[in-house]
Amino acid sequence: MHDIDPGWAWSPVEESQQPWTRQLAAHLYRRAGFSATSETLDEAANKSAAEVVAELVDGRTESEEYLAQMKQLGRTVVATGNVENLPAWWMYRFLTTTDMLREKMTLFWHGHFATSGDKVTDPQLMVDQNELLRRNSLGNFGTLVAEISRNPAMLIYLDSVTNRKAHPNENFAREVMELFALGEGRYTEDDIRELSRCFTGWEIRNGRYRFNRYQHDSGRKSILGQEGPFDGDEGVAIVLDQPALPDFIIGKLYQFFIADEPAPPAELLAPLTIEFRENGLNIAPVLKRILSSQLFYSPHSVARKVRSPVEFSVGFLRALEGSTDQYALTSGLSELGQVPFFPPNVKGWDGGRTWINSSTLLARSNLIQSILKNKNTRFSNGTLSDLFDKHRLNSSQEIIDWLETMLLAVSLPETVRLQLQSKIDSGSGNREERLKEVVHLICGLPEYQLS
Amino acid sequence: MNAFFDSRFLLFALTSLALLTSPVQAQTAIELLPETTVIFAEVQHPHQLVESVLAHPVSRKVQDSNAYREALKDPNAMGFLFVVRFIEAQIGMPWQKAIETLAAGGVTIAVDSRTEGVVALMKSNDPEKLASTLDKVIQLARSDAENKGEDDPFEEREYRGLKAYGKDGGGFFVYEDWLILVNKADTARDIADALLDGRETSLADSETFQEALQHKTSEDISWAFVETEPLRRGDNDDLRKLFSGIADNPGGEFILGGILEALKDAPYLTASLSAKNDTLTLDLKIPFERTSLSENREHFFGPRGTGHAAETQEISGLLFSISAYRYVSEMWLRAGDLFDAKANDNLAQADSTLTTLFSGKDFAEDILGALEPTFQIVGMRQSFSEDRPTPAIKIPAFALLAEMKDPETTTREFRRIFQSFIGFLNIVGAMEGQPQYELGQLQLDEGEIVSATFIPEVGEETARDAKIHFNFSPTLAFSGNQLILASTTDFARTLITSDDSGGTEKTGDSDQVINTLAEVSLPELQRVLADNESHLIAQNMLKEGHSQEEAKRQIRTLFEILNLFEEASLQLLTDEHHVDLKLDVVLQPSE
Repeated sequence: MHDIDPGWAWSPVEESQQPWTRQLAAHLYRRAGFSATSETLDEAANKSAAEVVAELVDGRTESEEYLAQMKQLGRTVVATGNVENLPAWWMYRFLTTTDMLREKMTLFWHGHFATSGDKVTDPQLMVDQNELLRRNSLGNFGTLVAEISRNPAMLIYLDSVTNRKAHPNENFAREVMELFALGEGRYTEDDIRELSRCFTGWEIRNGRYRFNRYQHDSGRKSILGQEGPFDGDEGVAIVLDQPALPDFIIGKLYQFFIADEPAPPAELLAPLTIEFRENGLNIAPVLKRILSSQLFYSPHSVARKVRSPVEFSVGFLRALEGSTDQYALTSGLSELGQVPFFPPNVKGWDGGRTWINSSTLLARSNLIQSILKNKNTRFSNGTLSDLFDKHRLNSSQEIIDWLETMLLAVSLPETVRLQLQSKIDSGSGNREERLKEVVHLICGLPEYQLS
Repeated sequence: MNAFFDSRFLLFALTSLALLTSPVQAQTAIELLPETTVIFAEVQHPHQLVESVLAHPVSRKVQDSNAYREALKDPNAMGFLFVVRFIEAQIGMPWQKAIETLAAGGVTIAVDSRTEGVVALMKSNDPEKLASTLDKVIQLARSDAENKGEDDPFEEREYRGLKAYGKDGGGFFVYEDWLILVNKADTARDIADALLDGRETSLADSETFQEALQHKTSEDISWAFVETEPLRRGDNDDLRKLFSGIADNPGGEFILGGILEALKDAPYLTASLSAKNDTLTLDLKIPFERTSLSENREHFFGPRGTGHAAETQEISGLLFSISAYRYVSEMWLRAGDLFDAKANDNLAQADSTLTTLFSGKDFAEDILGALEPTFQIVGMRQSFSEDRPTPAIKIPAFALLAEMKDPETTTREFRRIFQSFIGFLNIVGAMEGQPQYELGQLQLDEGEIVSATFIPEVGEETARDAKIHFNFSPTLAFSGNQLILASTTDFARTLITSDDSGGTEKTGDSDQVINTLAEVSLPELQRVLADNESHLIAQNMLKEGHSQEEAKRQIRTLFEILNLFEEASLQLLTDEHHVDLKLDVVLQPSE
C-alpha cells in the first residue's frame, strides 16, 4: 500500500491500460450502487468508464413519478406509527431506485450520522432525517453537518433534546468532533466542553428544532485555538475548518469505496483531501475522482471489500432482477447484523471483516434460501428459469458464466464451476429447484461475500 | 411397502378373498369405501355445479370485470388456458363436457383410518372416454416432463390385471367407470380388491355414518362426514387437543368454548354446502345434548343451553355486527376449572391490574357482573369532516353495547371510571408526547354521552394525513338500561339516537336458539378498504414486492371481488340435539 504512487492511484483509468468491460462495469455498480442488471451492464459497456461514472454522480435519474411514489410509500409507512416498518420501505427504495449512488451515499451517511429507531420511535422524524441525508448525500459536507446538527431525530438520539446554559450537554459536541468531523485524538476535552456551550439553547419541542435564547450561553468560548462568543453554527464552522476534517472524511470514503483494509497511508489520500478542501467540502467531485481512478479498478480495490448485509441481499436481488417481500427480507437482515434505520450505536456499523463470522455466514446462506423460497420472490416477474430463458441462457455453462459476471467480483475456481454445472444438469428435483440450489450455493461461496 | 402392488399382498388378498362369504359389488362410493372410513366428502353432481356456476349472473359479472380481463393477461393464466385448450383438443370435448362425462357419478374424497390413506373417487358414465382421456393426460404429462429434462412422472405397475400409474406410494388407476386416486399403496390395494371382489362390510354399513347421513338434504351441493372417535384416539396432538374440550386461553374460550364443548363428546360431524337463490351456505353440524350441558360452559350457552343473542341493532350502513350470549363474569370466575395454571396466573395478574384501574372495584364481580350476559359489537365506516384532522389510515368506528342490570347504581360508577381512565391515558400520553384528550359531556333526550376528543396540535387542526389517533374519540353513552362504549363520539350518538324498534330477533327453526350471530356487509367493507386504498397499495408493494401498477391492479381486483357479494354472516345455533355453525354468503342480487 505504501508503494502505490498517489499520482497513478487517482489518475483516471485509461482504456489503453485497463480495457473497459462488463466485469469492470459490474464492479463499479457493486460499489457505487447495489449491483446492476444485465441490460445495465450491456449499456455501460458501450460507454466509457468516465461517462458511466458521470451519470452515477451527476445524474438525477429518478423520475418525478417515482419520487412521488416513494413519498407516498413513506407517508403510508409513517402512518402505521411503527418505526419498525421503515426498513422495509428503504429496502424497497434500494431495490428500485435508478439513482443508485445517491442511495448508496445516503446509506453511507446514515452509518456516519448514526441514528436508531430503537430510541427515536417517531417514524416521521426518522423519515425526515433520511430525506435530509439523501438531499445532501452528494452535496456539501458543511451543509450536511449544519443541517444534521439541528435535526430532531439526531438530537433525540444523542439525548440533546434540551441543552441548558447551566448544564451544557456534552454528548452532541463530542459526537460532532469524534464521529462526525475529526476523529479521535484531534481535540481536547476542553474543546468539547466549550463547543457544548455553543449548542446551549438548542432544543427539540414537538418534534421540531427550537432555539431558546434564554438558555443560550452567549459568553466567550475557546474552541480548537479560536476564541469568541460563538453560537452553534459558528462552533460547527470552526470544526469544519480543521485540517483534520478532510483526512477523516476521505479516509472513511476510501474504506467505503476502495478497500476495507489495510488503512491507507496519508500520502495516498493526500490528493483527495486537497481536492475535497479546495472544492469547499463538496462531496460529488471527490467521489467522481475515486470512482474513475486507476486504483478503483485495480486489484487493490476489486474484491477487497466484504459485502455489507444490505449490499449482500439487495445486490443479489438487483443483479437477478428480483423482487420480494420486504418485511421478510428486513427480518432476515437482523440476523446478519445490519438493519437500516437501526444502527447498533452512535458509531454506526463497523463494517469490513466484522460482517463475517460463523454465525453471520450461516445467516447469509439462510437469508438467500429464504428469499428463494419466499412465495413473493420473483425474478424478472417470473421464475429463475424465466430469467435465464429471457437472457437466452440454455446450457449449464452459459448459466454459470452469466451468474459469475452478475454476482461475483472474482472468478469461480474451475472445480466449483464444474460442480455447479453438474448440479444444473443432473441434480435432484425439477429444473427450477436445481437452479435455485445452484444460486443458493453460489451465494454461500466465500467469493460472493466479497464486493 | 413402497412397491405399489407387491406379490405378498397379492397372496394375502387372494387368501382373504377366499374367506369372504357374500361380497357386494360396489355401485356407489359409499359401498366402495371401507367401514373404517373416518372422513368422507362428496360432490354428487359436479357437472350440475359447474353449469349452475357458469349460468349464474355473478359468473358473467366476473367475466366482464376488468380484474378478470387483466388476470387473463397474466402469463401463468395464459399458460393454464393454453394447457386446458390443448387437453380439450386432445380429448375432443370442452372441459365442461369432460366433467359431465368423466364425473357424472360424482366425486368423493375419503380418508381411511386403517390404512391411513386418502382416496379420491370419480365415477364416469363413459368408461371408454375415461380411459382414453387418462391416456392423453398421461402422455401430455410425460412429454412435458421430457421437455423440461425431468424424470418420468409416472411408474407403471400391475395388480390383479389393473394397470396403475404412480410414484412414491401414491398413484391412480381406472376400473370400468371408476377413476381412483390414492396416496398410499395399501389404500390402493384395498380399493382395488373392493372393486374386483366387492366388500362384505362397507361404509354403508356404519351405523354412525347412517345416522349422519340423515342430515344430508337434496339441496346439498356437497356433503361431508367426519367420524370423530378415531381422531380423538389418534396420534395427532392438534386433533386430540381439538377434541379435548379445553381452550388454551380466555380468548379461545370466549370465541370457541361452546364448540369445543360440543366436539368433546360428539361421535361425528357433518358439513354441507348448499345454494339457494343468491345465498351460499356452509353448515357444520355437531351432535350435542343441550340438557346434559356441563355447568362449566353455562357462561357460553346459558342455563340449560338456552342462552340466546340479543336483538341486533338495525342501523343503516353498519359494517359489521356481532351479537352473542356470553356471561363473561361467570367465565372469569370459573377460570380455575376452564384454563391451565399459566392462563390462570395471567388472568389473576390481569384481574389485579383491572381492579386497580377500576378504582378498587372487583373486575369480575362488580364490573363484568353488573352487565347482562348478552352483548353486541358493531362497527361502521367513519366519515371525517373538513374542519377536523383526517387520519392517514382510516379505521372504522366500533362500539360495544351491553345491558346494565341496575342502571341506577352502575351508570354513575361507569361514568366515573371512564373519566378516571381518560385522565390516566392523558398522563401516559403526555409522557410519550402523544395528543391529549379533552373530556366532554352531553345530555340528549335519548340519554347521556361522555366523550373524550383528541386535541390537535397547533397548525394540525385540519391535517389530511393526521396520526392514527384521530380515528378515536372514546365515548361512553347511557340510554335506559343500555351502556355503549364507542370508539368515536359520532358513532355513540348514532347508536343512541337510532330507532332500533325495527330490529328483528332472528331465530332459527323450531327450538333452535341463536347463540351467536356475526354479520358483515361486504359493500361497506369495500368502502372502508377504498378509503385506505393508497395505504393498501403501499403495503402490497412492500409485502409482495410489486411495482405500484401491479399493486394497484391487485387491490382493485380485491375491490371488484368484494363487489360481487352483498353480505356474509356466521351463526352459532343450538337445538335440543345439535350445535350448528352456519356460514351464509349472499351474492349481489341477480339482475
